[in-house]
Amino acid sequence: MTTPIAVDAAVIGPPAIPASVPRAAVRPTSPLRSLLSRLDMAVPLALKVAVPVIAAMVLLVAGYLAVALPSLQRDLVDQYVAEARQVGIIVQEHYTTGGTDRLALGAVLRDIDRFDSSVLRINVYRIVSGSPVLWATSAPSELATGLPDSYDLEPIATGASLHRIESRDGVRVLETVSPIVVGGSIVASVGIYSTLNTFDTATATMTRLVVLLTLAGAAVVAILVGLILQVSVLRPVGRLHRVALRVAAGDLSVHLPAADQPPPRDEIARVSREFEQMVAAVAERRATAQAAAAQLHQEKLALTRANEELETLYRQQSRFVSVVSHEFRTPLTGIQGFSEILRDEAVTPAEVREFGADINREAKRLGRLIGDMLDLDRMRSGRMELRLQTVDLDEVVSEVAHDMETVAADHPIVLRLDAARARVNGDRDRLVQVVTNLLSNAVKYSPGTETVTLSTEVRDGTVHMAVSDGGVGIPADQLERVFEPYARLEHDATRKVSGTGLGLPIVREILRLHGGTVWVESIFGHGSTFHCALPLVTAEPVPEATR
Amino acid sequence: MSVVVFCEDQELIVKLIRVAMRSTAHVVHVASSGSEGLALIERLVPDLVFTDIAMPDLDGYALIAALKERPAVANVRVIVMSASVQRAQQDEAFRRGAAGFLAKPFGPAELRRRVDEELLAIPPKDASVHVG
Repeated sequence: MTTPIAVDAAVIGPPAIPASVPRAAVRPTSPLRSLLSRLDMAVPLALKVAVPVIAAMVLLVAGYLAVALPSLQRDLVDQYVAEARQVGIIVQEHYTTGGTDRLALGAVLRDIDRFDSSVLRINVYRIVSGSPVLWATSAPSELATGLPDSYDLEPIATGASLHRIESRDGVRVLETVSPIVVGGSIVASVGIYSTLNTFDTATATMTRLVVLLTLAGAAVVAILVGLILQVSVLRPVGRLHRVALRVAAGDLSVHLPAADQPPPRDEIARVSREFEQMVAAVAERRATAQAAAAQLHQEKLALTRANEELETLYRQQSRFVSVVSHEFRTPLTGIQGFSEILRDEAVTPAEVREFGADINREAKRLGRLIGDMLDLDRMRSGRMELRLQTVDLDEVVSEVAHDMETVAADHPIVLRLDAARARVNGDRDRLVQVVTNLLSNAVKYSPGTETVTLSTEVRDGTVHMAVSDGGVGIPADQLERVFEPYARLEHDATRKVSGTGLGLPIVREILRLHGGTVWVESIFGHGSTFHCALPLVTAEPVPEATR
Repeated sequence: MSVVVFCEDQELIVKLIRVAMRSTAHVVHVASSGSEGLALIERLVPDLVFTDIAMPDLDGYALIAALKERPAVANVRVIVMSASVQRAQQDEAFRRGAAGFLAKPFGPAELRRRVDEELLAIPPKDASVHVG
């Protein structure tokens, strides 16, 4: 029962003044105050409660012994004094009626004596020339034996009223002496000797009873106080202690009572509740901090990503500049070189035409490079406007294939068109560009005389176009890159292939603008197939006449 | 009379080189790939080699490395001609063993002047023989 308290004190720490104590308490502590404080910390609560209970019990018994017992004894004495006065009146009557007969007086005394069992005897002393002489007694045997030595007769002689207790043979005897005054002078004294045996037995019993009752009361009080302590102090404090230990270990989960519950009147319950509320507040703050940290982490990740994107963009830009520079310089070499030859050197008329044609071709190539670059830039930045109309894709495919056959005569082009008309909503010139780029790629990357196949297939509201070649193919690890600008294959077999490096990126952008897609399948060394998917026109077919 | 070998895969530039060099007294040979160039250089042991970087089979740098491995042609002066003219790209050419860099585009007069300059920069053959 006391263990949690002791541990609690340990948790609270040394009895030095904690920083959170109000300012008023922070003043130079006297040694006594310090000692009390240390004691307060060292003594368990139960002991602190037990000590006053024990003290109260002791005080109760002491009070009984010091106040109640003497009071009872005083009452007894008063009773005997009153009895003595009564005897005094009788003695006085005897005197006045000439009754100096000691035997008669003794008989009277015996009668009185007989009424009270605790009275041992009643003596009447006659004061003879200042000295007391035993005159009459309720116990005649004493007349023979005379006065007991132990009796101090001095007070009797002076006629003083007194009472005193003497111990004789282990029995306490109360002696009450009262003077008899006749005619203004003391003539005799009445002494009543009574045993306190009965009284002592009664008070001893009573004392035992009082002590027992006090003990029983103290026990009951102690048990009650203990129960109250246990229920409303030690148990909640123990719980608080366990919660505090859990909190110290980092576990901030507490079971809070319902919010609408009124605050308890019990101080410890209130402290418990306030502590739990504090822990909940701390937990909430910690959760907030954790959320903030998580958010910071997320933002950092986002920033890192953005930074990486920027770096990628920068690298792309840098590569773009490098590639563009290289791509521009190659045709420029022909243009500059042959124009200087035409200007400065002796050439035949046939050479003039030949070199002129070379210059023209290279200039056109340069123009294509710039055109592609601008096209891609406009498409990517969303500045490209499509002139949309219903376009017959089969017609476009046939037208481009026909044009290509005249340019690349050594590559047979096979058309496999779907019986259903592939009508799409699109920009005709851009779709021509798509087919041209795919077809010229197929021809360019087929160093031999391999057949190039162009096919369309209408299915599920989509026209599917495929351009297949039996050329060099694309290594698997570069399939994803072919649609990136300037990602031309860096392979020996394709070094000689000239291009802007923008053909496929442009194809992808045009298809994207048309709501379509493009992807590639390839077996390295055995050719590639580029697939395009475009949504068909959903409206009514254009009348036959307009085709 | 000096022997100069050009390694260049682009036909138009090959044509330009031939036309530009026809007025000179030098013996000009052209290879259209790196491996072809290596064979030509080993056979002729020319005074000077001009090579493109991006070529089929064997690129310009691989050609230079192959020449360095062959004692007979290890000392042949090689000039890189390229359209990749950025500072880093030129530095790489020198690091890979090029003796000079000719930036594209170039005109015929410039090409002839560079050929003469590079020939003058070659240490006398006799001296190299004595030293060797």
